[in-house]
Amino acid sequence: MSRWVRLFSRRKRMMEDLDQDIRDFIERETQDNIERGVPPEEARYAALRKFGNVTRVKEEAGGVWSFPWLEQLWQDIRYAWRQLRWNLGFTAVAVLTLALGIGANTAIFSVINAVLLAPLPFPHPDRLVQIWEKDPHIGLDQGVVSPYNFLDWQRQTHDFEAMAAYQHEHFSLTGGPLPVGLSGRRVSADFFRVLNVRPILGRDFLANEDRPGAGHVAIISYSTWQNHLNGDPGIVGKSITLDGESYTVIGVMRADFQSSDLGSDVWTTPGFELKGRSRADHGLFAIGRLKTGVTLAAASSEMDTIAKRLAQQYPDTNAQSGILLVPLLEQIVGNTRLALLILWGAVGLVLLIACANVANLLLSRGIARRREFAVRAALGAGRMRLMTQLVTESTLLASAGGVLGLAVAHWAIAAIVRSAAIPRAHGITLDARVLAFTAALSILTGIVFGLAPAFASSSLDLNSALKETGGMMEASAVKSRLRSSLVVAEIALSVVLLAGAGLLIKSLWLLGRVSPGFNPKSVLGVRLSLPDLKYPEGIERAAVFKRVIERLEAVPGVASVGGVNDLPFSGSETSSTFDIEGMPLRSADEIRQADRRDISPGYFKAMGIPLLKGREFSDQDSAGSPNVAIINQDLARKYWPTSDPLGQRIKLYDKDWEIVGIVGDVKLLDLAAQDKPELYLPCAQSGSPPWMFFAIRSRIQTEALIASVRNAVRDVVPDEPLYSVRTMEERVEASTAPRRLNALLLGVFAALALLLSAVGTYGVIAYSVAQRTRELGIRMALGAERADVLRMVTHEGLALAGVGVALGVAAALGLTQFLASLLFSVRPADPLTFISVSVLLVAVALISSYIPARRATKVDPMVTLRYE
Amino acid sequence: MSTKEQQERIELLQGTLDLLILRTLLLGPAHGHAIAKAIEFRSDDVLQVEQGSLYPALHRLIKRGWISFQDGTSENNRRAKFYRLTAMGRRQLDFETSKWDKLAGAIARILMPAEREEES
Repeated sequence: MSRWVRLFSRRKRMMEDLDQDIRDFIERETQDNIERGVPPEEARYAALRKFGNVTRVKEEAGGVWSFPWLEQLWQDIRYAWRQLRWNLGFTAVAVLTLALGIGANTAIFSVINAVLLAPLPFPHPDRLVQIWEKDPHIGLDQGVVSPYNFLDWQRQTHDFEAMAAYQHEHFSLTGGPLPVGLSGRRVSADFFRVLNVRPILGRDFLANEDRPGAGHVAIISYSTWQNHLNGDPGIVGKSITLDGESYTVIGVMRADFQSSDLGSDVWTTPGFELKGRSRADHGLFAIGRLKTGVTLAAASSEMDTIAKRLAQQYPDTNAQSGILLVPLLEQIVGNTRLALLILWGAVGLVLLIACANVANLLLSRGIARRREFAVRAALGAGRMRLMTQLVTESTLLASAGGVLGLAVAHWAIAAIVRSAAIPRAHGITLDARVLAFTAALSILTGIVFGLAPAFASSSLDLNSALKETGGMMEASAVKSRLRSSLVVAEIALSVVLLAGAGLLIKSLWLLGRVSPGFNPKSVLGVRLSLPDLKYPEGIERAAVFKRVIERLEAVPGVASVGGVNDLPFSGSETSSTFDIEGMPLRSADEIRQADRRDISPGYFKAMGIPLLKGREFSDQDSAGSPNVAIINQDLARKYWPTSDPLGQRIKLYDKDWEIVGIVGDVKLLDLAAQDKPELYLPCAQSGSPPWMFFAIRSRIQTEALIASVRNAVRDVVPDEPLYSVRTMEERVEASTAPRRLNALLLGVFAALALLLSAVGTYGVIAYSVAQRTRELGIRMALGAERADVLRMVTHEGLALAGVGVALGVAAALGLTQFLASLLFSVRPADPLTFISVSVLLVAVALISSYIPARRATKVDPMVTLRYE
Repeated sequence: MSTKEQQERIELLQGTLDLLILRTLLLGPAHGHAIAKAIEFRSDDVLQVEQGSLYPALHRLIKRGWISFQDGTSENNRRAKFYRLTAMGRRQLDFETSKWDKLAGAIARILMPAEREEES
């Protein structure tokens, strides 16, 4: 680059000096002439004559210093710019088409860039893994970890540099005017050392702060510091009150930590407590950092060995238990990867269709510009030179499309981020890498769609082109074949996209018809936590929760209220192992497990879960009365397929529970999931965990309801904030957000493809009609009916569509296999989808060719015959 | 300048002008007009430097690094650019001269017999 600058400045200097040199030369020559005796007035004239053409000399000298290709490029660009400005209509259509294609690609790439390509904001993030317990026998893939197992792993591993455990926990921050709900993590002291991140203020946790009751220290997030503690620069060392207890702030975490999806508002210790827990109790999340040079496979095999050792040592709890390592980035990104790659493929196809369309436009314009090319060729422009000119034009078009595409992408990115269906979405921006991608893509696009038309337009027969006098010129067979192939390709690609979008949309539609098993309409869900310290006893907590329910029921407009330890579609499934009295295990491998929920008597009514048999819980089912349980239909069917489960007894937590009712199956996290055994216990008997969700059914408008619910809860427990305040409809909807986003994006891309190929088909048919005006005129003069002409022309469009659809269906049958894991109760080769898509495309092709065909029949035969 | 003079003069072959400029500058730095005059004078006015081609040739040689230039004042106190042979230009001159000798020799060998044929 600097070499160019040097050359350029040297050239400027040389050219400036040249003027002076030439003047000097001519003066000397004049002097010589005078000395030779030429009269002074003639001497100068003779000198000038002898020197020759000053301008040419300057041009030639300047030529020595020029960069011919660069100047030629500049010249081509200026010429192309003028061309495009003269044909505003053409330019607008082409640029818009390309902007949509390039914009869609830029948007998807920016998502891929932020989600899949950007490393996690920690040093050596590739060495970080999430560690799970697995149990293939019960289909448990990524299970939470038992603290005893975690300690054994930590002691026995050689492949890990460090491991840390954590649990999610909500805290209520008090001290301000209102209690603030914070999402937090209780972490083991190594947590930040595993990630290798240091606080920006203060210090990390110390090893001895990882003991129960030892610490009462907290690290706060940057946003908590700024938003709730006024960014106090002396915050380190001060006390804050979390859940009514005093914690000393020891550090403030970096702002970009949140972007890792491991972010919290506050972190505190200990990561776990062993007191009162057994090896069978699970509930921890674990992460680890591999030592340098240790591969995932090596670490996995070491962990397998450790798991086998523990299985032998503790056969009661660990017999089937294994360990699963997942790279942390993969854990965070999850199955978004597949969807993103599919969408990337889809936008690639859209761009190809856009290219084909613009190439077609260029081809027909190339024919209109034949004389221009012929004249330029006759004046000595080589074929290479003409092609360079044309490719410059197309690249300029594509660059304009790229710039406009950035605007399209900016808008699309905002929409994608708003959908909240993608992890790490906060990182999605048009950064330097995305801009470079867009620039490269635009140039490549310009070459791709410009090359074929340039090739076709630059190969012309000079004689015939120059002789033509502006009348209808006949395009060569090669060119119209090229145009038809482009349209066939467009139709085929559209079929692929429409089939994919159709399958996703059909899945979504079918999913929308799946009942969650409860009635989510007009139900608000909120979560209330009671800190262990203030309410240590489960029974006492149950009493507080009961008072809250009674108070909520008294809110005007509230129809019914139910309490539950975990609402459906609110983050977790639990799993409890039980026995059935009088029904021994059929084999040693059989495991009887069910999702267990502790509920208040009004829960089924508030949620709209139907009672199928027996009775609901009532206030009489209290700590002192016989233990009772309600099961769902799936559990009943599984263990009592022919007999009546009512009155049977289940063993759980060393207690017997009598089955008193059967309710409908409820989807817990995912509408697409299979029904599972579910078991409900009255919270008055099973004891409540330190939190409870309340389902509040009411016909009051949501905002007003939320306000009165907050007030009602504050009447009973003044210091505790409400968490997770959302309607049940919102919760169910959030669970399908990724599917909706995928279907929406692919649907938009497919619609774009359809529109582009309709325009493409129309263009080709209209052009062919224009070319055959004379032929059609003769046919009509000789007695052809309008219907015949109409049929003839639309037939041409249908032929294109037929070939395109056939090719597209074949390609789509192969490609939709990749969608299989994103579909719900639809096969990738769903006949209905494929037939609809084919019919749709043929219909669109028919309409696109009918319009020009009708115009053809309107022509007066005499006019066309005279028209030469 | 008379018509007779014009007829006797020979236009330079492409590329030879470069060689002649280099040869002229071997004698010492000179300005543009002096170079042209020197070539014409030393060839007894047979070689006509088409003056328009002198400056592009000079620029070409500067770009290749075979000559350099500096601003100076000539005898009659006029500002002028003096061109000077560089070490690289000197080497190039040797190379071009031997190439020229070979070419001239070869052409001469081809033309010689024809002359004899005419004579006999």
